[in-house]
Amino acid sequence: MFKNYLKAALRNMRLHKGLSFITIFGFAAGLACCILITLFAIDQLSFDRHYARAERIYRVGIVGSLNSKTFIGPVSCAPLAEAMEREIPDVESVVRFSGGGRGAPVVRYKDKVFSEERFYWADPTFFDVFSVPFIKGDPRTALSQANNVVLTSSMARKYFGSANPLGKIINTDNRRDLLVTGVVPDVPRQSHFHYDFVGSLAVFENSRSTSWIGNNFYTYLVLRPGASAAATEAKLQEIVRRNAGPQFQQMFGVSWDQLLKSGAQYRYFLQPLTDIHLRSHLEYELEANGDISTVYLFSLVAFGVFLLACVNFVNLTTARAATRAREIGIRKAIGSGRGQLIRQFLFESSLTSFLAILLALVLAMLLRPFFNRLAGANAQITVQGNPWLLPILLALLVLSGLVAGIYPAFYLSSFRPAQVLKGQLGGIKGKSFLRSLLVVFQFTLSITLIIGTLVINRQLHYMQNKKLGFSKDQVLVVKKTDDLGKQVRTFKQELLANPKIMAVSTSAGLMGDPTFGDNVYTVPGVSGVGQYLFWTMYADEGFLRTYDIQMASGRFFEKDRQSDLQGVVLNETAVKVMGLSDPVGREIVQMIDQSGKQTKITILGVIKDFHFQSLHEEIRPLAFHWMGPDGFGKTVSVRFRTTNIPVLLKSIEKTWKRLAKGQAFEYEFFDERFAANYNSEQNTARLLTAFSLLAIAIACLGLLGLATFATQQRTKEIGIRKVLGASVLNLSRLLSNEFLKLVLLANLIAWPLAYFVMNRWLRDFAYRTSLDIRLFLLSGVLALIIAMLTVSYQSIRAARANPVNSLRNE
Amino acid sequence: MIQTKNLKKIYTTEEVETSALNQINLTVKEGEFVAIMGPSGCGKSTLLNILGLLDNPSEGEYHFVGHEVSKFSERQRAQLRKANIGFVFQSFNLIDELTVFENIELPLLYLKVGSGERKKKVLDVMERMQLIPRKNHFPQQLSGGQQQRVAVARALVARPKLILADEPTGNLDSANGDEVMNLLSQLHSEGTTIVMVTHSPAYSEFAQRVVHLFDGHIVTENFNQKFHV
Repeated sequence: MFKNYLKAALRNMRLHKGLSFITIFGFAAGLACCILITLFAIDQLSFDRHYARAERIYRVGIVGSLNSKTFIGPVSCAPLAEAMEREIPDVESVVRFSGGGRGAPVVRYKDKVFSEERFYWADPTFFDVFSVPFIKGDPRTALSQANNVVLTSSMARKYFGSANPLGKIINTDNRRDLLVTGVVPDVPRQSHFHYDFVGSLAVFENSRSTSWIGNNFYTYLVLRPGASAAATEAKLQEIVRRNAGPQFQQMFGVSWDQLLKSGAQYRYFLQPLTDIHLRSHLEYELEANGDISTVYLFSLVAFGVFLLACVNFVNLTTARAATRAREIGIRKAIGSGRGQLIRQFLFESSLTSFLAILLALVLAMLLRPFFNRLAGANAQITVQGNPWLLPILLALLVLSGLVAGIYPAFYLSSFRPAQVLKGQLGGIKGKSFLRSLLVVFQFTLSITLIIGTLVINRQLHYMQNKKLGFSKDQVLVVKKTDDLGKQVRTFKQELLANPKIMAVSTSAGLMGDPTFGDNVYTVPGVSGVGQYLFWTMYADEGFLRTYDIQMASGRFFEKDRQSDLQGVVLNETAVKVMGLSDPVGREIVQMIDQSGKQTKITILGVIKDFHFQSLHEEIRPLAFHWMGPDGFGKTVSVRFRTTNIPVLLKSIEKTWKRLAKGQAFEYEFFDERFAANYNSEQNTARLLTAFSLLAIAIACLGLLGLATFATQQRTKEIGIRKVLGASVLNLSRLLSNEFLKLVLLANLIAWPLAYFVMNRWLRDFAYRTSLDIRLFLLSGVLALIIAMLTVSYQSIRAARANPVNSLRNE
Repeated sequence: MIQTKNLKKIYTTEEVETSALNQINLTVKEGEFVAIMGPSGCGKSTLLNILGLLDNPSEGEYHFVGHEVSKFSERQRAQLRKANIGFVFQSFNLIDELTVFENIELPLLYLKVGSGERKKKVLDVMERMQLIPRKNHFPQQLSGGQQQRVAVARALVARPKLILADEPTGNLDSANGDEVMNLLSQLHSEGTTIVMVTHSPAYSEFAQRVVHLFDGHIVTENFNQKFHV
């Protein structure tokens, strides 16, 4: 029997090549998209689950709030770890570490010298918490001595080739010699942080600090099975109150309880390890994390596209009913029961979805690199070794076969043979309400996606073009200038000799950087809670000119005024927050450290507010400090005025080479660096654009198929109308209108839907574009035009046909 | 084999009630060859559909091979139909996607006949119908007469007790029409019961009895002389 089904199905496909192709290809495109996104979602959700006790590992974070500024970060203070281990029995193991990213040490072994960004310094318990099978060495003792270091297998290869790394000595920053005591496998990609080296934290004096106020360490702990994170957090607060309270009292002269009463906060919280990658977006994250909302958004889109593809399938199959009605009638007359017919059609739909899945796999394979590029660096889809792929495919096969096949199967098998054999298709020929509904659904989805794409792109455009209060174009940023040390001064002077270079400036931190330093300031005379936590930037006197920032009053730092080291320049927001009416010349106090040391500084000037962070954030209070004549930061910004960039670069590089003694010349353009703040939006925009295109393509394929059938079914009517004098225009309008009405209806549903969704999306931005009604109109018109083009091809063809042929038929 | 009592068929649309058959009392004995004649729209095909269990009557009784079937569900009708009735249509109604062999084989597949026996039965009937050379052809590759021969073969292959033919010669020229009629009459002589709808007075001569329908009523029943011994 199945052989018979198979033959009928295959020959049917061959007979209707075009339509079968539309059905299968549309389905495959939808499925491919589904496969890619499912793998993406699985990948994102599987982060950090490879550690043995992953479910019980937590990271300690801090919420600190002082007046207008709140700091929430994944960091904690030095003595916290030991206190927790001592006082909270539920804590099974705890580790602190620091390093990574900032201050990458230069590692030397014989002639091999590299700057290593993924170099961490950790407590000996590191490999107890983040357990890994050691390739060489003993995890229990690997970090027990202050001069120990463990490295990954790829680092072992990089520095030692095939030699045994154990017992070898590497050197960092020409300062420390470290003994290699272990080799571990490379950290899996699906981790929220990746280390190449883990050295003993004990080498740093600050690891023994007793200050509960400076939060410079990442602390992770393992709770005992069954222990509650909430209870642990509560105990943590008690420990903090007991230890940090006196230190705060000393620093601010206010008691802990008074401080809290004034609205200040200082408490630690626990983040589950497995939540970090998708749900933690704090300052000082170890690496850029993924985003659960992206996973949701994409999953939603994938499900939508899957439905679109199924809808197409159902629509095309039931539309084809008219042509298959006779076959069904015959089969019934000959003796087929309804059950057999249902089985036959389910078999056919499964066959179609099987072919579609094969095609989808090929498509997914081909599109994988493209998708990975779109999805961004930390979202990779790998096919090899993904144990989920096969179950997903099987599930898709069964699901799509059923979803797409069940309605046509029951619908087709219900035909009454006495009628269909006589060619009385009655209800079958007429417009199907369901089919119309499905077309409306498809276009609603497509139009919503188009609107979403337009809004996101508009917001991106808005962000890239909004006046930021400084000039981001024509600025080159030379990186790693702290390697030059005091030579930076000479470097700047020589660059300024170039007539194409307008201004240069070195600074610690630049606009748009994800992390900033901060300082506590107080206004004398206001005691107790009159403390303010401001973002802080250290720059030289050239900064204002280099970035074209405007003064509101007073002056910026001047080159040879040593006294400016005791000065500060605030932005307008900072002045407003402090409530100063005549700020220039006033003295305020800067807290130097936790011991209560402080220094008086004078407000030299006020700069106009500018966006020193991305447009996600509102403008916050900012304090500028001068670096002094010999100061140097990690970057030197160069404002230039030339279109001949290569010549400029060559000249700067020449100067660099001379001063930097072999260090590589690294640079980027500031506007690109700043734009990186919107990478996530840009990725989303690109992916959404791709999905909208796919959705509209699938919807159009479906429409094309439906239009083909509609015109086929109405050939006789068209013939009669033509004989009676209808023109081609009349007829194609008659045939197209039905579909266009559906697309119009889809617009009416899609607009409020898109408005709702995009309004929510835009709320993430402190500065955002408006939801322009024109975007909605544009999307609607776009969908209408595409639908019209799709349908009219068929309509015009049918309308132009010779009526004699159509009337002779049947 | 067939007995109807006061059979009625009424089609209702939203506005109109059309009575297609009214008070039909018809008996067909086993081995009989009955022709049904009448003008277009008189209810011939409706009657044939009901007799063939493709449709249910609105009122009245229908006894088929000992069962009262007028209230049978679609499922029950399908069961009874596939075991007992073969159809021949005016427009052949072969499945375009299947070959000659596969078309003929289809009823046996639905009867779940084993593959060896199936093949034998199909080849037997094909041989008889001289269709062996056309075994792997598709319906569109055959002439009308050949297609109708395939349809007859398909109707026969499961050895049904009753063959229902709805204007089997309607789409054929006279030569092919004659050939099909000879086939039917040969089947009849071998004992098969046949009920045939036709417009052609000449072909109605092949039947033992001619039932004339007009506006849903049986108006006359004639017995052909040549069958009266």
